[in-house]
Amino acid sequence: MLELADVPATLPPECQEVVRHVWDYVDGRLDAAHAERLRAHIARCEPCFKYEQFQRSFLDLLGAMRAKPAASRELQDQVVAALIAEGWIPQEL
Amino acid sequence: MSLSPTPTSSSAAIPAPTDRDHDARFGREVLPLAGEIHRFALALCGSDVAAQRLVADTLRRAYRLSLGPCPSQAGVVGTPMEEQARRLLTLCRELFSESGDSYSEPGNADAGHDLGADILGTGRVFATTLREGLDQPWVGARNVEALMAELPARYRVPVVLVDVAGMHDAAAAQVLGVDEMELRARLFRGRRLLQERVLEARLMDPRTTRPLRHE
Repeated sequence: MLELADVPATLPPECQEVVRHVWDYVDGRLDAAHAERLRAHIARCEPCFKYEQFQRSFLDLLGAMRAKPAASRELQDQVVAALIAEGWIPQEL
Repeated sequence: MSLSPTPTSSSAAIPAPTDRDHDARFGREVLPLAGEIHRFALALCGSDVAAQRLVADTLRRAYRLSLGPCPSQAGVVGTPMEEQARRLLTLCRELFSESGDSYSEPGNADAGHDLGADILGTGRVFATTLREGLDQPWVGARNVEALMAELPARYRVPVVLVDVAGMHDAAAAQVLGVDEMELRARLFRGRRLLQERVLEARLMDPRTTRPLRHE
């Protein structure tokens, strides 16, 4: 089993490259050749495949919070009060 | 409802009266964005009370700008919603930056949260994913939000803008007033800090599995 602290030293260079660049990879920020090199390694390396899946799951989770947030009634009241103090004329009060 | 004075309201002149059409347009175009601004303000402030005050002050400033000699330059009204949102978030960040500690909650300093060099941190996450098989579905999104709130604002805000709100790097960098390199450096640090907290808190459900995806 890999120990936490010595992972970078014990990883093969190809795996270290995945660790270093995985976010640029999943974000689609790598150039085509670099992305293909990582994709080929990930396809045949189970640890790196799991790591990539983990990263995608993590970003999926954050993306799932993306729904447009609605302002609470309290926030709406505070905003309207601030604007009225500036001279804004509400249309539908 | 709070009508307490705010940092921006006391010294500025009250703008000239405006026509109802302008105010109706402002209400129609800008007010629906209050929730989105609040999410960003919450990431900046770390406290809902302060965030609500910051949103109110941001929209107050936006209203003033919309009354200026060239409201289109202010980008507050009459521009596409995406541009409006970016402009309003930028205003929000500027106001936050100008205010000193007025909107900050205690203990939200950036110091003390760095866990070492990037490769060591990502290596710890890598090792944990191997040991525990964490290529599985996430659970406890609400808990993840709570853990995100514990991150230093410097790293939390890019994660909220890019990964939660779905903003492109260039737009997020513009909102924060930094270049894209700096934005991505902060984003990566924020992701890593959050992942380490999530793994420490064991927010993965080991009983569930997901078919592995081969691309």
